[in-house]
Amino acid sequence: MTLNDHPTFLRHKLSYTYKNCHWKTMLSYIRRFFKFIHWLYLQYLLNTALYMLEPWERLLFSTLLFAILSTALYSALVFLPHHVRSMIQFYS
Amino acid sequence: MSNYQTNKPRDDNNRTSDHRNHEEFEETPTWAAVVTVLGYAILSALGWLRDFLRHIGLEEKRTAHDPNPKDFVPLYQSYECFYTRNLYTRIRDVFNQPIASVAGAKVHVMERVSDDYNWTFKFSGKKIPSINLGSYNYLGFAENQGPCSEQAIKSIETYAVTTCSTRHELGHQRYMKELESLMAEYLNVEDCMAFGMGFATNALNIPTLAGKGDLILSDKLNHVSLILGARLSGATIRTFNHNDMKDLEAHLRKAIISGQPRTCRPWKKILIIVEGVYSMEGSLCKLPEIIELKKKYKAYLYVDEAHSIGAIGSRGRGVVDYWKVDPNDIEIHMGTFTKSFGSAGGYIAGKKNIIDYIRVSSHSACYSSSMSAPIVHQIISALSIIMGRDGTNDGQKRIQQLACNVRYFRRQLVDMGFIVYGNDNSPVVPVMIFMPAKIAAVNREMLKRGCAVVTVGFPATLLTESRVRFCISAGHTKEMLNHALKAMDEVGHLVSLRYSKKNPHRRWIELDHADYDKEYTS
Repeated sequence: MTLNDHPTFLRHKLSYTYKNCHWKTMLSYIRRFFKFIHWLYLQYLLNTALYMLEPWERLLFSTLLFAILSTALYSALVFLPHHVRSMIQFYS
Repeated sequence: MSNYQTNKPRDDNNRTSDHRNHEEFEETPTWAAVVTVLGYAILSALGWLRDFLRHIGLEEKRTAHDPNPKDFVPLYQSYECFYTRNLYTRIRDVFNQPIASVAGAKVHVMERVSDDYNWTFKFSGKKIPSINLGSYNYLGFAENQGPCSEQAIKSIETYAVTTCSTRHELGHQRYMKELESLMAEYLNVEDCMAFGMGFATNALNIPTLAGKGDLILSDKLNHVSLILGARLSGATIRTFNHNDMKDLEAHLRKAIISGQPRTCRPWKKILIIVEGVYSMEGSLCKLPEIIELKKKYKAYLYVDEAHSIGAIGSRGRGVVDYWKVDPNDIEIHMGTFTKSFGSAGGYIAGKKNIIDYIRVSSHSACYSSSMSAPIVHQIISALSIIMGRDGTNDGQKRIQQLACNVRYFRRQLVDMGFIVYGNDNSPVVPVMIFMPAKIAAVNREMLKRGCAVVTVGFPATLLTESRVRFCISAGHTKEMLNHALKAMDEVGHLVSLRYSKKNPHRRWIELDHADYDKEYTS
């Protein structure tokens, strides 16, 4: 009995490969996404010259940068609506 | 003066491509300059922090430090040391990499590992076979087999390794005469003299040619050996902008009109020093225009053809051959044997009376030992191959192979969107990197992919203009160049090196290879 004689086997084989294909492309998309994140991280390291620094220096600089950016973001979120409203009131 | 403008097609070649004399130095994109400066600022800030930690004792001092006693002048220049300690040492593993084989078209790079961030290295024992894109092996003569090395080895049996003497004493050997007459014939000049070291040829012979009361006009990007020779001579030095003929003319006119600085007497002589191919930029000097200027203002010309002899020109005779000028118009032809001939040493060629004077009064002839026999025989055999004296046309084939390789490699790099400096025909291909961290990244990633390249930063280049410099050789086959281009494409994507605004950014797969292959085989 050859492979082609058994119809259910072939269908099972096809369904297995179809599902496998789905799974594989999903995995490859996830892999590509992680590779992209890794590439972005590498660009951050290269452009800020953190690539050549030791790990504790990287941590120090990243912490400082995160602190400054988060403070700026927080201040913007808290104060900007009030400032914009008072500016509109002042100029109208 | 406008006969030899760039972009004008030459009529001495069947190629009608208008890339013939095209020289390009694309401007740095503003964002790249800003990011580079920011990177250096971050590195400097962290460098100060580390220096402070070293000063208070939290970290151990690993360099020699200046004891700085009271009332004494400091021993070290402050910025250079700061740079060495905090920027150079961090990426020191990509510079000065030791090799373990002959530096031909392929080289074995010894792998080093460091536990303490490049302060000390240990050899892991592994040798990485890689394509050699860093050696100045333009015609592929850096090999340990073949007629050249056989002749060099045989010469040791006749002449031994050294004469243990200087040229003026007992060092004037028969093979020196043979080399000098062969070189004079190669360059189509009257006479030539050879020295043991290329750097010393410049540094020790310019003082014999120029002295107090002379004016030396040297290009801003001249090599350190020329600058050292000019300073040692005691002449007044003025620099003109790189390849800028208007600036050179302005300097000449000002010099002739005003004369010497304090006394206003006329200058005894004016010597213009230029290089054939500038090794950091890949640009060629504009020889016809310089010769016209020199004839008009009655100055003398010194051309340093270290990188261009053998590599440029349809017959490999250097920039003189490339621009098809009369060799008698240039007073001093200088060059080195290190690059295209696969040996060591330098030469000075010109009219017989100048060379006779140099023979008598050169510092190098009087104090440095004469050239070694195997080195001279390597040059003699390489020269005979290039000139076709050995009966084959291997020399001409090498020159053409180099020209093909250069065109192929350069065009593809430019079409991929990298910023490539220099003339389209120069075998030196600098690709800009700009940011300091990318210098290390490019070198390491290229080595991982099997290409050994040379990446240069400060102080060899300007602080914000670091680059990776490829040196194409006639020994590279098309497969090797393809491998290198594929590696550069990947590294360019990983490290984002595609800065060009003029050319679209393309991956290697997107290029039309049939077009390049057709041009390669032609």
